[in-house]
Amino acid sequence: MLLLVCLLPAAVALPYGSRAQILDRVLAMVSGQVILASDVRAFLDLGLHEHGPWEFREPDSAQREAAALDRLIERRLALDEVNRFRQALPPPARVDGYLAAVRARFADEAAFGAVLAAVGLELEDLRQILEDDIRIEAYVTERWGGRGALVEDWIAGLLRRAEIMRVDP
Amino acid sequence: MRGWSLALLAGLCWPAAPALAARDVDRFIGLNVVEVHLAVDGRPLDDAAVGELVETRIGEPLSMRQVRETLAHLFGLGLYRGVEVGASPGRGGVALLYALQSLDTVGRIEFTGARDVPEEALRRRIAQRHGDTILAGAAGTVEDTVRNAYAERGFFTASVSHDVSGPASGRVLRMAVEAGPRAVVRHWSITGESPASHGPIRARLGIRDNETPYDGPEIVQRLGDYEADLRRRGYYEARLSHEVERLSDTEVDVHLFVRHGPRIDVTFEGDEVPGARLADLVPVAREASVDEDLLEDADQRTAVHLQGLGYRDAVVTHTREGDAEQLSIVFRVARGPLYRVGGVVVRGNRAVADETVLSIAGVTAGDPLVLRQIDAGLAAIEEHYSRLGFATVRAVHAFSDAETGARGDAVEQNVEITIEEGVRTLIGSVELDGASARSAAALRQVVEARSGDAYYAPRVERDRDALLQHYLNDGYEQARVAVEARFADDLSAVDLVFRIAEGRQVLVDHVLIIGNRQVDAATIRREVTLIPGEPLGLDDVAETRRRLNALGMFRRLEIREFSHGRFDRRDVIIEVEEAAATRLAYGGGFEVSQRLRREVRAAGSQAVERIELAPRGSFEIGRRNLWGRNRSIDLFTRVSVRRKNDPPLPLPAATRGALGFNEYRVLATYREPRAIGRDWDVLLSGFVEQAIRPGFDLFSRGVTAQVTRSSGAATGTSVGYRLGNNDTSNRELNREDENIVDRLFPNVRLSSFTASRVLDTRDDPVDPSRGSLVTFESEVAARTIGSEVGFSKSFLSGSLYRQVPGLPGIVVAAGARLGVAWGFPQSLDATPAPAGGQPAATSSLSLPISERFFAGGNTTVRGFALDRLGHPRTVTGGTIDQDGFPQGGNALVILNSELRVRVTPAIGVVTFLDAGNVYDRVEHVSLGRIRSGAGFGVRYNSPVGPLGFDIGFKLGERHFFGDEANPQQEQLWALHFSFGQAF
Repeated sequence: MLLLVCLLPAAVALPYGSRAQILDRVLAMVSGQVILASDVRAFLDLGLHEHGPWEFREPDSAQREAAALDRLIERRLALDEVNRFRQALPPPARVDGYLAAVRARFADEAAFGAVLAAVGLELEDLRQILEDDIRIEAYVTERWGGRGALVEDWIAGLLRRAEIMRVDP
Repeated sequence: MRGWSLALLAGLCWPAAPALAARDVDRFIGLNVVEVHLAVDGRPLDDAAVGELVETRIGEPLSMRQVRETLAHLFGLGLYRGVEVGASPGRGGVALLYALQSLDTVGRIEFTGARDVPEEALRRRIAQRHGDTILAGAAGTVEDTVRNAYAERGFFTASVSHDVSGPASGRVLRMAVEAGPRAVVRHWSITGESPASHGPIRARLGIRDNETPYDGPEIVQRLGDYEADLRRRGYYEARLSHEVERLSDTEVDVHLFVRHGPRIDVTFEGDEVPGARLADLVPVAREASVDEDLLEDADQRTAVHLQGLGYRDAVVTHTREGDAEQLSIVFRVARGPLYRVGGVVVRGNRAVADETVLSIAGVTAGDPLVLRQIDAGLAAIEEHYSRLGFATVRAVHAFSDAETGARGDAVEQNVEITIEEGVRTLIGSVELDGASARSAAALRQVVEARSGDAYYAPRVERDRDALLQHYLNDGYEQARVAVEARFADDLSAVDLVFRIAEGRQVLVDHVLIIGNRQVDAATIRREVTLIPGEPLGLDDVAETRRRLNALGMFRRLEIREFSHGRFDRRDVIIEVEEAAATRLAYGGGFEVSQRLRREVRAAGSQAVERIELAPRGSFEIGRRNLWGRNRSIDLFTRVSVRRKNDPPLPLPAATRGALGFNEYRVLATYREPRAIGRDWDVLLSGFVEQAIRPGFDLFSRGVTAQVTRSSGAATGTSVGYRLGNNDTSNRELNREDENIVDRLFPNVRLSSFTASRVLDTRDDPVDPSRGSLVTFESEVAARTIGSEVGFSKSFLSGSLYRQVPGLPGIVVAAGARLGVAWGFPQSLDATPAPAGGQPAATSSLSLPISERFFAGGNTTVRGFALDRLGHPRTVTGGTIDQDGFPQGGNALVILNSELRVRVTPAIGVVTFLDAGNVYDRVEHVSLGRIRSGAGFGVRYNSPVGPLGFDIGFKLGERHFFGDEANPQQEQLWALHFSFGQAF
C-alpha cells in the first residue's frame, strides 16, 4: 500500500514529466554577468566560433559545447577590459560586413530568423555581439598587434583574477 | 500543477535532461504559455516579488528572449546557485517551470564534545577566516580552522569532525570536538638579551615555571603588550617574538626572542627651532622608530620649517651616538641668518597692474623672506595670467641685497619679480563633433567655453569633464569625450573641437530589491530614483544610495548592476541588510553648573551663585521601521538629582526645597517619514518634564505635532502645533517685582502654532571649523485656539565659522542672536472684586515666565551664571528682580566671538568675548544697555565627545542686589562646564 502511495504520484506525473525539456539554464556567472545555455547555442549555431577572436574547432559535440562555454567566459572577461578602456565603437559598415558573413551561413532569411528566435536574440542583439567582437579585435590589435602568445597570456591573467562561477547541472 | 508533481518534474526528470538546450525544444517556441510555475529546491515558490520577474506570461506566445531575461532576473537576485527553465506540453500550449536551487548556506554553527577552548573564541576565529556567510560546501575548511585554533592552544591531537544538516537555505553545521590532552611547556628559553635580564623578562611575561599549558595566542598577546610597553619607555627598536618546538603531542619547548635594543633619546644642538613642537618635527616617539628614513625626513622637515620662518640657509643634520644600551639621536641645527624682504619690484607686466600683481604675490616688505612663499606667489601670478588667456606666461624671481643691508639680526634683500607675459589666446570657435543622441544646442548648455573668451586650459578640461558627466548621467557608460585645441600660428586664437564618442545607452530594466525582511519593499522603492526604462545614470545610482543610507534602516547596502541578454538594459540589484529594529541606549554622568539659590539672612534674603553638581542618568528605547514603513517610535527618559527651588517666603526651615529626583524629562515621539508627499515627515510627541530653573520650578506637560521637510542635508523647514500646560507655581521670585501674568496664571494652558527654518552648512555640528548656521523660529499662541495667554515670539540666530588662512588649527567663530516677543493685550482680573463692585482690570503685554527669554550661561554670555544676564528692574528694560533673580524678558540680544586654537589633537583652548542682554519689552532694546563678558576656556576631545570648561568675567559695571542694608554685588566671574562648543 505504501509503495502504491509512493508510486501513484510518479505514475501520474511521469507521462507529463517525461516530455519536459530544458529550454534554457544558467551555465556560468562571470564578473557578475550570466552566460546561459542559449548563449552557447547561439555561439555555435550562428558560427561565431568559426572565425574572429574566439575561433576554435572541436569535432565532438560535447567538447564543442564545453569549448564554446570556455570561449564565452574568455570573451566576457576580455570585453570587460575593453569596456574599461572605453574602446570606441567600430564603423557601422564594418559591423554590416560581419553580419552579412553570419547571414550567409544560412540558406535563407527564414532559417536565419529561426535560429535567432530559438536562441532568444534579435538582429540588433547580434549586431551588438559582432560590434563587441570587432572592438575586442581592435583592442588586441592596438595593444599586441593581433592574437598571439601575448594575448593568450593576457586572457590567462584575466581568468586567474576573475570571479567565475560555473553552475553544475 | 500541484506541488508534488512539480517536485517530481524538477527532481526526477530534469537531472537526466541534456546539459544544454537542445534543438527539439524549438517546437515549443511560439506556442501559447498556459502555465508558469516557480519551484525552489523542488518545492513550489509562492512569492509575488519573485513572480514579478517572470517575463513569460500566460496567454502570450513563448519567446526565448523572454525566457533568457527571466533566467537572468532570477539569477541576478543572488539567492540561487542554479536557475533553469523546463517546458512541457500543456493543454493548448506550453507549461513552463522555473526551477531554482537555493544557495547552500550555513545558518547556524553548533559545537559539541569536550571543547576546552571558549566557544566565543572559536566563533570569532571562524568569522575572521570565513566571514558571516559560509557555504555548506566550505564546511571542511571551517573544520580545518577549528583544528588549527586548537593546535595553536596546544591541543595537537584534537579530533574535529563536522556534519551538515537541515534545509539548503539555512543548514546547521555541527562541529564535534574532542580536545584531547593539552601540551605543556617543558622549557622556556630566552635569547637575545643577557642572562641577567632573563628573570625580569620572565616576571614581566608572567612565566612562572615550566609544565604550564601551552597557549600560543596568549603568548603572542603578552609579547605584544611587553613590546608596546618597551616602546613607550623609549626602546623604539624593541623586537619580541617566539617559536614553539613540538617535542611530542603533549610537550613543547618555547623559545622567546627578546631584543630590547638601546634606550633612545633625542636631543637638539645648535640653534633654537622656534614656532613648532619638536615632537612633531621629529616624530620618533610617535612612530616608535629610529629608522634612518624617518630621521632624514625629520632633518628635512625641520629645515623646511626654519626656511618657512625666513632662515633661508637653514641646515639640519643628525648623528647617532651611544652604544648597545643607550643611543642618542642628536639633531644639529644651523639656522643661518634671518632674511627679510627689503622691497618688491615687478617688471614685464603690461596686462595686469603692479598693485594687482603684488597683491597676488603676497610678498610684503619687512616680512621674513621665505622661498616657498615667493614660489607660491609666482605660481599664483601665472595662474592669474593663465585665466586671462596668457597660456605661456612665466614669472621668475631674483634677489638682490637691499641698500639697508642688515637690520637688527636680519639680512634684508629686495625681491624682483619678472613676468614674461607671452601672447594672449582667445577662443575662436567651439565645435561639438560626434554627438548624435543629444542635440548640439543641449550640449552647448553644458559647455561654458564661448567664442571670444580667454583660453584657459583647465576651464576647457572642466567643459570636457562636464560633457562626459552629462553622458554618464544619461546612461552612456562607454562615452568618451576628447578635446582638440587648434592654435593659430601666432597663438592669438584657438579653435576648440570637443570630439564625442557616445557609445551605447544603457537603460534600467528591472530594479530588484533583496535582503529586506521587515522593511517593506515599497519603502525602499520610494527612495529609488532609478526607473525601469529610463537611463542607468551615475547620479541616479549615487542619489539612490544616499537616500537609502539616509533612512538609517540598513546596516549594509549594495547597489549592483546585473547584465543579461539585452545588451542595452541592465537589472539594478539593491541588496540590503537591515539594522536591528529595537534600539536601546542608556547613560549616566553629572552636570556641574553655577546656579542661583536664595540665601536667607536675618535681615532678608537674596540670590547667590553656587556651584552645583547634579548626578543624572538617561534611558532611551526605540523601535524603528514599524510595519515595514520606516516609521519609528522612541521613548526617552532623563532624571537628575537636584534641589528644588524654595517655596515663597516666609519659609519654615523644614520646608526648604529638598534634594531628590526633581529634574526629569519623559519624551515619547512617533515619526513617520514621507507622510505627506515625498518630502514632508510627520513627528508627534508627548512630554512630561520638570526643570529647576533659576528662581522657579517649571513643570510642563503637553503634546506637539510637527511636519518637517529636509531639502538636502543642510536645510530644513518645519511647522507645528503645541498644546500643553506650564506650571510655575513654585517660584521664589520677589513678589513685588513679579509680572501680573505669572501671578494670575501660575499654571497656564498654552496652545500655539510654530514654524522654523534651518540653513546649516557647517562641516561638523559638534565642533565646526567652517560653514555657517542660520535658524529662524516663530511661535504664535492665541486665545482663539485655546490658549489662556496670547503672544507671538520670534527668534533669529546666525553663526559663522572660519579657519584662519594658513593656520588650520585656529578657527574664528562669531554668532548673533535676536529674540523678540509681544504679548497680546487682554484684560486680567488682578484683584478680587470689592463687594458689589467690578473686579479691577488691567492689561498685560508680558509672556508667561516659562515663555520669556533668558540669557547667561555656557551657551550665551559666559560672564554670567545660567539665566542671570540682565539689568535690575530699577533700570529701564531691566529683568533682574531686587533679590537678584531673573524674571526673563520679551526681547533678547546676544553677540558672541571666539577664537578656537587646537593645541594637540585632543586639547584645545578658546578665548571669547560675549555681549548681550535681556529686555523686559521689545521697545526697551538698546545696544547702549548691552552687558558683556570675556574669558577663556579649555576643550578636551574625549572619547565621548568634546568637553569644555570656560571661565568668564563680567566687563563693566556689576550691580548690587538683595537686602538694602547689606547688598550683594554680582560675582565677577562664572564657571561653565559643557559638552561641545558654546555656539
